Amino acid sequence: MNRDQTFLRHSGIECVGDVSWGTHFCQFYETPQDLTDTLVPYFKAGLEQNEFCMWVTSEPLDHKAAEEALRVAVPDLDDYIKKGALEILPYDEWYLVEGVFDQTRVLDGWIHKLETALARGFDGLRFTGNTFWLESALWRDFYDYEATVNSVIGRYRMLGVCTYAIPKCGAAEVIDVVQNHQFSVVKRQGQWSLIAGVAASCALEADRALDLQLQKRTLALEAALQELQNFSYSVSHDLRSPLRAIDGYSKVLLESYAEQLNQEGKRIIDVIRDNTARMGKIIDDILDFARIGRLELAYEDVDMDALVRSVWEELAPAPDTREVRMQISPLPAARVDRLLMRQVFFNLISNALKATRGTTPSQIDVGSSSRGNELIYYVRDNGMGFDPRFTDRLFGLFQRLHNIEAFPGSGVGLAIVKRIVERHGGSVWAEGHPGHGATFFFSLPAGEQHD
Amino acid sequence: MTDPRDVEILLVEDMPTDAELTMRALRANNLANKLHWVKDGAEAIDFLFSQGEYAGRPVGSTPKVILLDLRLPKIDGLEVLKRLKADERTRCIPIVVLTSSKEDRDITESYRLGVNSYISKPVEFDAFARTVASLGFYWLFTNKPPVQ
Repeated sequence: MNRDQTFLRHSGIECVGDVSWGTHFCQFYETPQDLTDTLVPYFKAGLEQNEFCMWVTSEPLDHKAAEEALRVAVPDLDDYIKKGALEILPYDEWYLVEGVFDQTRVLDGWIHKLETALARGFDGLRFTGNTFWLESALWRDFYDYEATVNSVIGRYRMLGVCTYAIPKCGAAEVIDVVQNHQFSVVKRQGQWSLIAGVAASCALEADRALDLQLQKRTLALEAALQELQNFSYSVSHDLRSPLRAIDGYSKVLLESYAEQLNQEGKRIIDVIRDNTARMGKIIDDILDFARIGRLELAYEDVDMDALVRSVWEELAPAPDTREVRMQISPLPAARVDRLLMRQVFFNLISNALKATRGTTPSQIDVGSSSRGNELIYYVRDNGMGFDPRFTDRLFGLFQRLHNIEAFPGSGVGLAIVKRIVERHGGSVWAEGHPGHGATFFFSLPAGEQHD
Repeated sequence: MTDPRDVEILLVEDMPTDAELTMRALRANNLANKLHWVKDGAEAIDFLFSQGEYAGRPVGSTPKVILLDLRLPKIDGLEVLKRLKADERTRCIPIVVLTSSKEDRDITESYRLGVNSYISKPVEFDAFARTVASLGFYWLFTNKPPVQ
């Protein structure tokens, strides 16, 4: 079942229809009949939809009368009561415990009821409270309480209707009540009808304001994005040129002034050149990282086996330099951007090569599995591993878990992997222990949802 | 400075260090004998259309290749490229964009305007020197230009 369907509930009240979780409305009544007219179908619907139902009663309909009225409409009411789906209790056991109205206790009480209900397998909490007991001295407190309920209920799987006796409400009270509920249910010319509350029109107003704000923010974001692109463009142009000069002139020194330089002088120039090379690599990687974020993916069916083999052909060290055993298990094909996916494997395998420099023989395995509707690929090595406490940092930009000598690189490789995989709708994770190797996984949605 | 009537390579580059390193790499391979260096887009236009301080230069005598940076003062590289490729007198001169930019939009736009080659300058001097030398060889000796 999709989320929207479980989110919508039948209110059971004809003029109200379906509502979403987080709906809080009020009903104005004159007679006990008015209460049963609406609340009986309301709870009947709740019980039938596997909701935990709570009816807080007051005059002129006490809890016994409420139960009897409900039993007429719900013949198997005892079954519901037996399985704990329904609680009917008088106001002085809920709102006015020991004669005191404590709004925090009541609010916490609802949330506690909801949590218990969810834990017991109900879909949510449906409640009503009759406010007949409410004395004018308590009105201000209760007003605050209703305002709080109205502002927070949207976050919960709760549905609430508060009933108010018209004879007890003056104009000021009616306005207070209407203001603190999303809408009202009243009887007009013998017909129950729904009146959109102040809150609803406020919501409409708020929507408009939000739209406007959203438009402004979108414009601001677009401007920021443009600025960022100009920035990366400048980085691309302006940072490389001085770097080339540093490297180039160092080389000139080495070539044309070699006799005037002693061993230490030459070593220092080498250090300068190593570092310019590193910075050049970092700039390139940052630009790659930025580019991948805005690139249109070109999806095609890719033979992942062949892709990994071609990456390995490029990366495999010459046999006389070091021994690396590479095992590629059959990999399922996937619908991905070929070039970007090549970069994913390139980065993961070159990482594995770096991690296994101190391990003889080095072993790298590339394999796959599936999980539900996902394909999972992994690259495993028997190298230096990492401290699992820092797994989160592995995929961050410029986050390093090893020093630069132990693990050379710009600190961008895994961030690029993560970005590429996420752009494909997948995710990345890793497992490892110091000295016991590491496995880098990524998932891709199976099937052809991209086109 | 090479006689402006007898130029084989026109280098359009505003950064003196990049210009010096480019010339050094070409000189190491004896390719810089007939090179002329201009420092912005306006000077490049003046040179190629024989105007301004190059008023006396015959328009017909064209370089074998233009090495064009994109980010230039006064008139930028893409604009220079556009004007040269739009004009009958200069359309056939091979133009190589030699720039720091690897941006897709620069590459796409350069080709759209009719560039003959696009090269992104490597940061490491050794790679840069190799690149410059090989493109010098290619355009001066390997490539066959149209008969003028």
